[in-house]
Amino acid sequence: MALLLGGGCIIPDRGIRNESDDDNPGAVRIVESIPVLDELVSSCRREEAEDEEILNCPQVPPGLVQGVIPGGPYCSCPGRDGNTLPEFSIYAEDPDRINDEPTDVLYAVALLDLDPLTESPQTFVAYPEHLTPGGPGEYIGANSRGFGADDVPLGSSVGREDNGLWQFRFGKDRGEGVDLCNDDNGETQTPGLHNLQIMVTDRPFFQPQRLDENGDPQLDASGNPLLLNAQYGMPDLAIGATWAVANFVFSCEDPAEEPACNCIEGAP
Amino acid sequence: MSPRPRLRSRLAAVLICGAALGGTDCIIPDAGIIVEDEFLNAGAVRIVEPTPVTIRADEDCDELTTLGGCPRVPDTLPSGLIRTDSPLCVCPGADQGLGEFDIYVEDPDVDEDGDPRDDILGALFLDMPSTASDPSLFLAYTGLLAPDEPATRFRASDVQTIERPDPHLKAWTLAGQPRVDLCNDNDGIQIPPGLHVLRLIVTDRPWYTPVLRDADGMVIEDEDGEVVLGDPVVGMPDLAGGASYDTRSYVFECLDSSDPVAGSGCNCES
Repeated sequence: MALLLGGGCIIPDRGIRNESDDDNPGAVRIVESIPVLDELVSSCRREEAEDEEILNCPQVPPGLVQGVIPGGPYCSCPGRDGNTLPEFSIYAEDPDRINDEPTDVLYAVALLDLDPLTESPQTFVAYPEHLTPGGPGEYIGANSRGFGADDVPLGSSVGREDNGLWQFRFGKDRGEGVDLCNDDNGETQTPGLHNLQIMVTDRPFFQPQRLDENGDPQLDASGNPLLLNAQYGMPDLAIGATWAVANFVFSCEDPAEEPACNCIEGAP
Repeated sequence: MSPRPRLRSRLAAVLICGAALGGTDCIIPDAGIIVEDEFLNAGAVRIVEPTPVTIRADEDCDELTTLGGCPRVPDTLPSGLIRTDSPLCVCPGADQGLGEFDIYVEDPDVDEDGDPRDDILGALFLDMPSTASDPSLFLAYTGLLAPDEPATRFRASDVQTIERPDPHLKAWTLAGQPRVDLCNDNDGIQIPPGLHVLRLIVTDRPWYTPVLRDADGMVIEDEDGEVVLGDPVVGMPDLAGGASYDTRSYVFECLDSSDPVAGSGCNCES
């Protein structure tokens, strides 16, 4: 089928669609590598590829895999734990782009042991020194993801547009390990299992307006609404924010019961 | 022939427009439309799950929209650490286990009629190391989530959104017989006591299917000259075929019900 316009201009009506009128048509995704068969990896190696188009395999740089955090044992110590989690990165992507540039900035926050039934997710913000609450990620442009194992170039998936990657580093002072059980903003965790959730969103986190006693928004001298503190962990759904999460589980051992603990003196 | 993945471009629209101008009298704007390529997998699949909503955020959604509050993903088991009222246990028989729960996915790709274009497949993997050479070796709980069963539309009507197109929410319901018993019923097999990771991988293309080769590495063809394919490798998205994927992990602990201390809180069924 075709659409016939005027005197001889034929425009196909397939393969063309309207761009969305929505403000945020594309949703953010956290991306993570998965095990890949060697026969697929090998086809991506430069020396074996025959066509530049298939050089990039859809893998993201190595990062901490969701699930149980490796290493440890991690312990709730009187001082600090000698077993720390090395700095790691979370990667995310968002398809909203104009002229090959991202239109959305991605933001993240770490939440510890989030109660799924809470109405105050912002009270579960954790490790602010390791991941700035509500801080923006670092944009890694398209086709510059680097290399993975076996010198395989990383890139967008075959058949998919390269949306680029956003990187969020989790670690104090860029390089120092994370004392998971003793350095949640200086707090020591109770022994047991804990869940660290990294939430990524494509709008700044929700920031409620300051209300007067009648429930009306308070305005500043310029007529702009006064805002309260951002509720980190609360995506700004009213303006169309999307979000994605990744979860990491770790156990804090009691050094009185776990002889393999590596507690050392000093503050975390 | 390799697919050309980057034709979601306004450049193509410009070319159409230019050709039109060289002809007679039609002008096609180069903004507001997307030209798709037949090989393109424009939208990626994503797993979605609910998140807590603050009262003020809900009020904001109510004030700014006609939805009466913020749109929500239906309640389900969150990924990450599975917390239960009573512990999950390895039992002589069965455990009380979990109730049924849903896994929600969405994919923005639609056909000419606006209906979802991609089938979404998913599978579960137990304790799969990140260095695994073959994910299918860790395939688990196929009775809960069959790897060849596409997710189904969550409901026929549009899912509520704000400033987003209909995400075409789809779901699987994971329901055991009679309940989800992770410690005792991995397709009928008990798993050892301890901490376990259940990894979910979803994809928007059929699982990768390898081309069979002979001992010399030559592609095997059948008598009609067609390439012979092997069985699908569940857990391996067809990356070369443009598949996208998403993944989540659930962590759960199985206690030994025969342990007089650790298993004292177990609630095994006789």
